[in-house]
Amino acid sequence: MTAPDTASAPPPGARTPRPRRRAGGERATERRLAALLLAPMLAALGLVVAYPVASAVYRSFFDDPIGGEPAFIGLRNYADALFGYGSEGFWAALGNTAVFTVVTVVVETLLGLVMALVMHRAFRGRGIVRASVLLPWALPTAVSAVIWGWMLQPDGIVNALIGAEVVWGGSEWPAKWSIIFAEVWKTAPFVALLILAGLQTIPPHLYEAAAIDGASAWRRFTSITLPLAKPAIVVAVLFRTLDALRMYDLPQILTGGANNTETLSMLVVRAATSELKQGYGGALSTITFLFVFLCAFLLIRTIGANVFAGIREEGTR
Amino acid sequence: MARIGPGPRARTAALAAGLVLAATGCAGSLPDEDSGAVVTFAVTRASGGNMDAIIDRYNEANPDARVRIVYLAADADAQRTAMVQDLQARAGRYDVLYTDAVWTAEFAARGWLEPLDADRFAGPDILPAAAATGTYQGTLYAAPFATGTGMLYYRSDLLDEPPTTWDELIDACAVAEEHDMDCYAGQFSRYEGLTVNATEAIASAGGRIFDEDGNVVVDSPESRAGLEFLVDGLEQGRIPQAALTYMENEARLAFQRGDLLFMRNWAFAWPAMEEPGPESNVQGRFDAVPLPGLDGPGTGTLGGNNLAVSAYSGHKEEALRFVEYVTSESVQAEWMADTNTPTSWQTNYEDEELMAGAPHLVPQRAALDSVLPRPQSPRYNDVTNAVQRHVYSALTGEKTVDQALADLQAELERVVASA
Repeated sequence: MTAPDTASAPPPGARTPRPRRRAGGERATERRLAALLLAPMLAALGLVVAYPVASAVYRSFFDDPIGGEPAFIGLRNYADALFGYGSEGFWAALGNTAVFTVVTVVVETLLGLVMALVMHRAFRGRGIVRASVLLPWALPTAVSAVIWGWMLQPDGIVNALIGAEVVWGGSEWPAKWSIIFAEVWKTAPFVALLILAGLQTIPPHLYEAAAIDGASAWRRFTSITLPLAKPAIVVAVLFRTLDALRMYDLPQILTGGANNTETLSMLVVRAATSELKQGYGGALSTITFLFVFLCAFLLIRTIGANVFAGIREEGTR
Repeated sequence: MARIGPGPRARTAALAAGLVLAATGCAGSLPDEDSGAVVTFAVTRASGGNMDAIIDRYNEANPDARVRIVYLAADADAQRTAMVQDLQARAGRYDVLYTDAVWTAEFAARGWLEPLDADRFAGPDILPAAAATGTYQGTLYAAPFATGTGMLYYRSDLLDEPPTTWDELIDACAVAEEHDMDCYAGQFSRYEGLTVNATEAIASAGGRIFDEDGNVVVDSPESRAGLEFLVDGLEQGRIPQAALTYMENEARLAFQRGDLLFMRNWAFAWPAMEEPGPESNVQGRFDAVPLPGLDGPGTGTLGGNNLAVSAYSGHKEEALRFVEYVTSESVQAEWMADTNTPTSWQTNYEDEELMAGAPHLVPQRAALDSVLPRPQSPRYNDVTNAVQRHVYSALTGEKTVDQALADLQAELERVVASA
């Protein structure tokens, strides 16, 4: 992972030497105080993070009888999900989650970049544009899902505008596209906001210098804007990917999982709270956790490493 | 170390306070805990009637066993989740539960419900079908309260004679075509309503999902005929494709816009469509009859809500007394007049004054003579998910009817074996 790299090469001036060395006794006291101060937080984290995760993993090795004590069955729940009776639903959900994630993140990033570039320009009414672009992100997902549900009804406004009679909730790809539309509509502003923050850190004199050197607008974009905004873009992509991988509320409200739009999170909720199978649901959530972890790891490994390496080079230059 | 903000002690204290809050937040306390109530009644926010008035009257007459009402989510799944959390934790915070007709088997099989005296709560004057929804393996666990079944709504201004069989319905679709309308719709979105509609179609052709002994018998020629009525309807355009997204209200809106000649729906749709105003174009121009079937009258399934007593209640005697009051003949009559929806006392349908105020309860009463509960299973959620998935894939043409029924049979057999 890249975290140690970045820690070993901090920007200069981040850690200034202490003004004076303290006596050993004072330091020990301070350390004890730090441990004491951290203890409640660690206990709280243990209570709300470690314990539930551990107990879900532990529970996933047991079956789900009705009106009896759960019995230890080893990895049977995992086998059922991956290869057994649950495999059809599991792999379909995994595929859907992957499709939704890849498509929405790609589209959001491109759209978000364009929106950020527009918002970055100085023009009259920029404040209004910035505020209105952010509106979809400010709406709760559940509310926007309901709104999209209404608009996508057979006699809804979307069909009226495009002059067609698409039953959006009636077959696989229209249903998937409606989820993708709604997701992109809602989260592209978030990507735009993050990238805009990145754009604002680019010193204007770089552009001036490039313009004097005769660089075209496209050249300025690819040689200045993109490389310097890249850390912000990477952060946006990371955030969005991890978010999209656990997508639940939007498809749940919009399609209820019909027409092969069920995601992994929906599968977990269905098994654990609707069918009350904590063992099987625990296995599903553990697999989902591992899958999301793997995706995050690979993402940081590939695109993240470059960015952090780039920062380091610039820092040492 | 630069010290900004509160000192270490203050921070420790804040953390500790946060922890304590978090810990006690889980245990939670119910609103107006101090009202001196003995019995807590957990009920959906969307029961449709004025439950508060009933409780107030009961509390006035029973100061020693006052009842507090706790409103749960309007959505049935969320409501079930809240009840399940209480029951799984054996907390007993909810003494009386307003349960859905299809939860009885699961709650009873898990030992969450107090068995009830059938003579006291489901006597001969109660509709037998309604009592069946509160019964699991021969024992009554939930006292019948609200009930209801699907009816065939039709446009009485366009048709003289409502159909009693599917063939007659299909013939009448010519009238829909003349008027540039769609012919028939029910609730075919992939949700609980699809289980209802599919079970009705299968039962109306003489099929069953489970037999009397709980064996899976869904893969049968009768079920095939039942499902084909819906699948062919969608394929041949009698049922609009949009119906694949319909739930109760979408179907009602299509019918009251004047887009449908026939609609399967519950009794609630009637008063909504009769309401004066521009929302409905069909006031006084429709009627309802029992569902048609393959060779004769069809079979509806039962919706409805019952009252059950939690096995973890600390006040069972008081809880039972309250259940007896709410499910009594007079309170149910009042509920019918208030909500315009059917309840489980047969005698109330003979009350002329009551029926005069709710004309749709006449066909509803007739429809209640030919009903079958939805499949009863302690794994009901698995069952209904399987039914919804496979039936929906047949409706959308993703699978043939034969394949869908064979897959459903196999999946349900596995569910039954795991229960």
